[in-house]
Amino acid sequence: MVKITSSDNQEFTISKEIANQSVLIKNMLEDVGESDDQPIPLPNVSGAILQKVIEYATMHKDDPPPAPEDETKLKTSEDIEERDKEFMQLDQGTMFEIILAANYLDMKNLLDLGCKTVANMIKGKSVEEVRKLFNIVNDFTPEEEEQIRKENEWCEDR
Amino acid sequence: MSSPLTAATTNAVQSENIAALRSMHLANCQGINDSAIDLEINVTPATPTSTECPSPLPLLPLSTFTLAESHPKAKKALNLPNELLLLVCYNLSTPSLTTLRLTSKRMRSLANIVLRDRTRIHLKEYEDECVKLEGEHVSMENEKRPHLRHYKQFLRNVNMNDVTEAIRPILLKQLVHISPRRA
Repeated sequence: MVKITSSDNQEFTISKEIANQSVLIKNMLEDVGESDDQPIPLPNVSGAILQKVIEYATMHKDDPPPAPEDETKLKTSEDIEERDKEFMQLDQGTMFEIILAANYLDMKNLLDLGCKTVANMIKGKSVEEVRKLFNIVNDFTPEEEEQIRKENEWCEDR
Repeated sequence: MSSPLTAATTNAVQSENIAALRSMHLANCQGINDSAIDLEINVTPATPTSTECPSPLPLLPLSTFTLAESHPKAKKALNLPNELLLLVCYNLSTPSLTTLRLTSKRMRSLANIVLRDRTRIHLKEYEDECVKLEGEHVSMENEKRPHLRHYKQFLRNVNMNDVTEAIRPILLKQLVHISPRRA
């Protein structure tokens, strides 16, 4: 078993196979060795988020290793499993914190899931809806906006 | 068999190493936290080469955006660092990207990177297709060249008798077809 502590000093004890889903923790364990009982500090992740991350890692502990990526292939956000969709039904703040935690812990699958979920939130929305959804302030002048609309026509032809 | 003294020394050294590694990790984490406040991203767009399709998309240098906005406590999408927002953008379709690039200057810069990459991928596909077709053309020409040479020679020394001889069977066939109809 592996012990990890969050930024707010909450301690979690998890199995090694769950811990190894994080490349950061895996490398730490390899460096420190298995005999050590000391918890691994994760000062960039809060207890609540770490709890969610552990929940995800437990859910996916039996998954096969991901296939290597084809860089020329366009990514899609359509291929999310139903259980992952349910897992990501969170408020926006928690979702972004999970993405940051996945990036810090080097958990590619969780990071991909987070990014795909955010991408799905953007899909099919108008410019104003996207701005409202993510609190984005429009910093374009009307002329710049018109110019971008013209450029977009060029892009959509491709 | 190692002596108890040696074992004790080894354990002490191991503990020291572990402690050192742990403190290094903590220092790294602290470094990440600190650097998140004032670190600037140095993502400079690659200079387009002559083979690339000229794009009308202007690229705002991303160095104008800092990770200062990406404090971990913040809960807005804009407070995710650029590299994570780019990952989100790579999962978007082109129409969604064009919508996103209308929302703000920062989003436009990020979407431009993805759109430029996609255009480059399409150009690479066309380039590969072009090389493949050129290869096919060369091999086909090599295969058909002997026949072409024969026809070229024939066309150079063509005489009307040869042509008449060549088309006589065809003409006869047509005549046979026409005659019964007239009858």
